[in-house]
Amino acid sequence: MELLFDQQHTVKVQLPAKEGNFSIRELLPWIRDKLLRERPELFMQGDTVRPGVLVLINDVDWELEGELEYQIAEGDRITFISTLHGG
Amino acid sequence: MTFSATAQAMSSPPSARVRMLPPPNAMTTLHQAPELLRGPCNDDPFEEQMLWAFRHNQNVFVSARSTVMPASVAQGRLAHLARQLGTMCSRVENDRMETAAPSPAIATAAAASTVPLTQHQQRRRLLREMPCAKCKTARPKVVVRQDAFCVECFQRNVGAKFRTVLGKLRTPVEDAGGRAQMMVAYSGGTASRVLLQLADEYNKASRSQRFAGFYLCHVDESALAQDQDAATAFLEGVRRVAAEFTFTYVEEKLENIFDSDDPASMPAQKHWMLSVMPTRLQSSSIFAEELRAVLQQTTLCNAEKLRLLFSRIQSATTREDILEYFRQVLLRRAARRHECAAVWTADTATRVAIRTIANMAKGRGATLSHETAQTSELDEHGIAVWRPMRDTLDKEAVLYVYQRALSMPPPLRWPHHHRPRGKASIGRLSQDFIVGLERDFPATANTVTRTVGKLTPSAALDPTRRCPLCQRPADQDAADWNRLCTVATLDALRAGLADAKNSLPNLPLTFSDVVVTSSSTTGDRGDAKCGDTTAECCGSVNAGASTSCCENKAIKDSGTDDKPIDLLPTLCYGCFVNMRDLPAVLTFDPSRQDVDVCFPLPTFVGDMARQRVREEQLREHIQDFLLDDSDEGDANDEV
Repeated sequence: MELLFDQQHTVKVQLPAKEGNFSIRELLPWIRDKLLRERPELFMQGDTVRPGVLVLINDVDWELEGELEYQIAEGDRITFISTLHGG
Repeated sequence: MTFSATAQAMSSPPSARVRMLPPPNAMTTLHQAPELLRGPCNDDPFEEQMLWAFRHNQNVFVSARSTVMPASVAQGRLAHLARQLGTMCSRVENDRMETAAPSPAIATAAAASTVPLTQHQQRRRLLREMPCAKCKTARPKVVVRQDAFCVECFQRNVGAKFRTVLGKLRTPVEDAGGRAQMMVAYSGGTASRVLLQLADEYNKASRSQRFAGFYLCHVDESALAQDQDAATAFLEGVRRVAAEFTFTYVEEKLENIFDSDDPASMPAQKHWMLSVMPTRLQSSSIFAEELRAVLQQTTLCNAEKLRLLFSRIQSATTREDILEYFRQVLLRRAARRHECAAVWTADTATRVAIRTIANMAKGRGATLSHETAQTSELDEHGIAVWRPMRDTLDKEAVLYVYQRALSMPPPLRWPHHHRPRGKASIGRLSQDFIVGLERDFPATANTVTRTVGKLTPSAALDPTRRCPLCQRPADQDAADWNRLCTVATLDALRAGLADAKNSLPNLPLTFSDVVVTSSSTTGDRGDAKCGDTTAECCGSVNAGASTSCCENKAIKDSGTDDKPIDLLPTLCYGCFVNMRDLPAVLTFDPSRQDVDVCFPLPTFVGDMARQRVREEQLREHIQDFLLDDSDEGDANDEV
């Protein structure tokens, strides 16, 4: 996963100002366009992450947090981990 | 052929209920491979209903125990569950579940949902409001298959699965009352990092000290890396991780695959490549310039040989296969050197499921059980491959490493891993298939693993007849099968060469790059009067009435001589297919007036093939003296 993000392990981001909260659904394309350095198809598929990529929101499986509908709050830590081999 | 046989084997046990259900948009796949995906579901009315519901786009739900039920039943259950949950949650303290009453989310899920959700989505909505499935108190943080666990229970569960598998495995050394040494294979990846951690904990925890000692083996593939700095950093990282453990660290360089098993018996070869008799060779091999240039060189270092081979393999599938076989040969070699009884590999349930699908597509169904079971068959040196993580998912391994912040080497991109799309190889395609299904059907990998676990090796498979390349048992009739499906042979080329070497440019395009070498190896070959006919009468297994002169000579010489090997009949079907993608050079041997095909393959392939040919000849030779038992198979066993 680091390889896709220019070898960076942790990225702190300031999301653009917007009315209401940012959801993961909006965050993913933003990351793809702003942070991803190569091969977006290895990160996203359709409007969600590629199968095999785990998402943790503050170390909790995103499946327990509403997945794409989760509203991001100040200071949230969102982790992407790939389970895929050779990705 | 192999595929259909395996498919039948998979569906034959009556208890095997394949529950790998495709999403509605994958119904075409379902129809294309009905025996694989549907399995014998006719005996189960629920599954019938489930399939019906899928076809008609009905809402369906899978409960925690993966019982399949139609939407109407599920809704009733959900409402009941929500009521129970409400009373239970009020008793739980504040750090755990804050919800005191059924939340709107449950109510929504419990009520008849108007938006059709997949079964897994429905399940996940519910999981959000439930406590850990194991301890029933703590707030869950991880979803594994259909259940949510808290961090402590999750980690304990990973360890328990590992110990359960290990508890079922035994070595012959243990059966004899001794304590065996073990070798843990560590690639630097996440799954093998978990394996390492769990092996260490198991070793420390088991009071009886079940195993005599542990070795830790890393196969260093940096010879194939494009970025040498990154590869060095990676290797440093691996060594740092290894240093954290008390296990003895062993490093095997991938290029050393070109060294012989036993350096003393290494034959004096005219060149390092493997000479193969060209009969029945399919013709899509390439004859590269570089190969021609290096053919005569004997000073080429192992790393250069390795790079030469891998840079010229035509398909990514073959490249991955060959790499995997080389790795395993090296691991077994290291295990043998250090007298370990088994090699532990970090094959997770996800990996095993992917391999199952991939191997069937590659025509390797015959050896599926060998490659996917908790333990492989013992090889000729009595070493087994154990897969203690066979019940653990890739997701669990990755989360385990993340949660415990286990040390990892820096990330590295291997050139042979770097392919533009998922369709680069059969392995990658199978990975996309399994991982894609896992998203909505989280029990996919476990279901495939459980199903393939019911397979046992076919009786027709003789474990002593191994394929020289992949070291798996080779189907006995693979040679006949190869002959039947071969479309091109080199007969025309050989005839042309025998007539006039000058006519080379007029040969078909594929063979135009023939190298004519003037090898002067007649001295090594010894008796010249046999020279011309040796390959003809002894190389071919079918030659019935061969003279004893030739036969004895072949049996005597085949271990040391570097004359061409009749390799192809000894290969299994999968490796035979792979051979088409390997680079090859044609050489003309003036002493025999014949063409050889040389593959840049390690010597262990040649050694094993020679041994196979020798055994077959011996078998034929003493055939008449054997007591005629019930059938030929028994007679062979006595040999």
